[in-house]
Amino acid sequence: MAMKLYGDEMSACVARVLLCLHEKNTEFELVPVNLFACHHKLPSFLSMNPFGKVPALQDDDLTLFESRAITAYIAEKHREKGTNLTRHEDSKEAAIVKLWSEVEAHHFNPAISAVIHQLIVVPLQGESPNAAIVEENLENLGKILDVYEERLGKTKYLAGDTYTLADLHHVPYTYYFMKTSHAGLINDRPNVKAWWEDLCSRPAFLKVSPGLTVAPTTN
Amino acid sequence: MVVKLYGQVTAACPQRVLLCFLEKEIEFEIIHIDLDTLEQKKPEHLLRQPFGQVPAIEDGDFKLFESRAIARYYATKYADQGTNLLGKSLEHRAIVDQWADVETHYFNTLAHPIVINLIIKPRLGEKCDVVLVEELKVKLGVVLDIYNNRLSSNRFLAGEEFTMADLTHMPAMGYLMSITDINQMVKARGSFNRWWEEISDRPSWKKLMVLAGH
Repeated sequence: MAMKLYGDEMSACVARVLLCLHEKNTEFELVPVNLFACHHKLPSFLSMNPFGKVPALQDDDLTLFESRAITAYIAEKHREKGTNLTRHEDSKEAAIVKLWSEVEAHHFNPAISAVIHQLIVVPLQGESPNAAIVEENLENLGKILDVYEERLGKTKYLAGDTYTLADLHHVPYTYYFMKTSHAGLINDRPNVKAWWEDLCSRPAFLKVSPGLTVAPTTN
Repeated sequence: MVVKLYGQVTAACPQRVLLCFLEKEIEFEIIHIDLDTLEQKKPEHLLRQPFGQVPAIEDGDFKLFESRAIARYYATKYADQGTNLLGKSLEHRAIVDQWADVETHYFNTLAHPIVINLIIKPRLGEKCDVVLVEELKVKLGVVLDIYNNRLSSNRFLAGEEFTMADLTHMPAMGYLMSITDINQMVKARGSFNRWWEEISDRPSWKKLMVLAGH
C-alpha cells in the first residue's frame, strides 16, 4: 500500500515531504486537509499529530509527524533508490548532512518562516504584517545567508558536492520568500543565488512548486 | 586521542553533547570557551562554528558543530556501546526523530527565550521582557499538556526506552526546573513530572550536574 501524506500542497512543510517523495521516486497518496476550514485542528487529525499541524504520514502501521522526521524516514526506507539524500554510506559525511540540516532547523527556518508568516499568513487572517518582526528577522536572515555565502563558495551544496536533505529542507520557504520584495537577500549573494537556481532546476522541484500557490503581500 | 568538545559546561547545548558522551561511555576532553567574555564570537572560535555559538567538536581531523548533529554522530558511531539512543528499527528511529524534532520546533522555541529572560539576562544585568515571558509560559503550558498526554501512555517520549528524544530535552529542562513558576507547571502535570524525575535520576545526568558544578 502506498504511503499516505496528509496535508495541502501549498503548505511549506507538506512541500518539504513532497520534494523528498519525488526525489526518492516513492509512490504516495496525498490526502487533502482543508487548512482554511481548520480540519488540521479536528480530533481525527489531532490523533495523528497532537500539535495540529500538517503534514502527517501514514505508512502501514506507522504514523509520523514533523516534516523533517518524515523526510529522514522516507530517505532511509528507500535509501537504495532515487537520489541519495543522506550519504548514509559514510558516517562522517552523513554527520555533515545532519549538521547543515540542523542549521536549517535552528537558524534559517526561524528567521525565514517568521518573515513568511507575517507577509503571507497574517494577511490571510485579515491582519497587517508586523513590520518590526519582519525587519528583525530579515536582519537575522542576512547574517545567516552570509555564512551560507561563504560555505557555498567552498562546496556546491551545503553538505558537500551532492544534493541532500540539508538543501531540500530549505526549498519551500525559500520559494515563497523569493516571491516577496526581499528576494535580494538571495540574489545579492552570488553563491547563494547559484545554489538556489540549481535547486529550482531539479525535476522534483518542478513537480512540487506549482502547488505552492499562496502569494505574499508586497511589503 | 579523545574527542575535544569546545564549550562551556554550564551551557545547554554543550550539555546535550556531554549527556550523549556519558550515556555512550565515550571519553572526552572539554576545552572551555568562556561565554561571559564572548569568546564564542572571537575569530578563533568562528573558524570552528561560523554562527559564533557552542559547542563544536574536533575528533582528530573530523570537525562538527550543532549539538544535535554531534550527539547523533556519536550515538551512531558507538551504536553498540552504552545506551541505545537512536531506536531499534526503522520505524522506532522515525518516532525518536519525530519527538527529537518536537524538541527543536515546539519545546526549545519556548524554553530558550524563557531561560534567556529569566536566568541569563539577570546574570548579565540586562532587563527581562516580562510581557514576552508571560506569553511564552501560556504557550509552554499548552505544549506541556501534549507531552503530558503522550507520557501518560508511554514511559519515554519514543516508547518504552530512553532515547535521544528524551536526552535532547534535558539541558533546557534542568534550567526550567530552577524557575519556580515553571517548576510548578511541571509538577502539576503528573506524567510529565514522572518522566522528568525518572530521566533526571539517570547516572549520566548526575555526572553532568557534578561537571557543571552543582
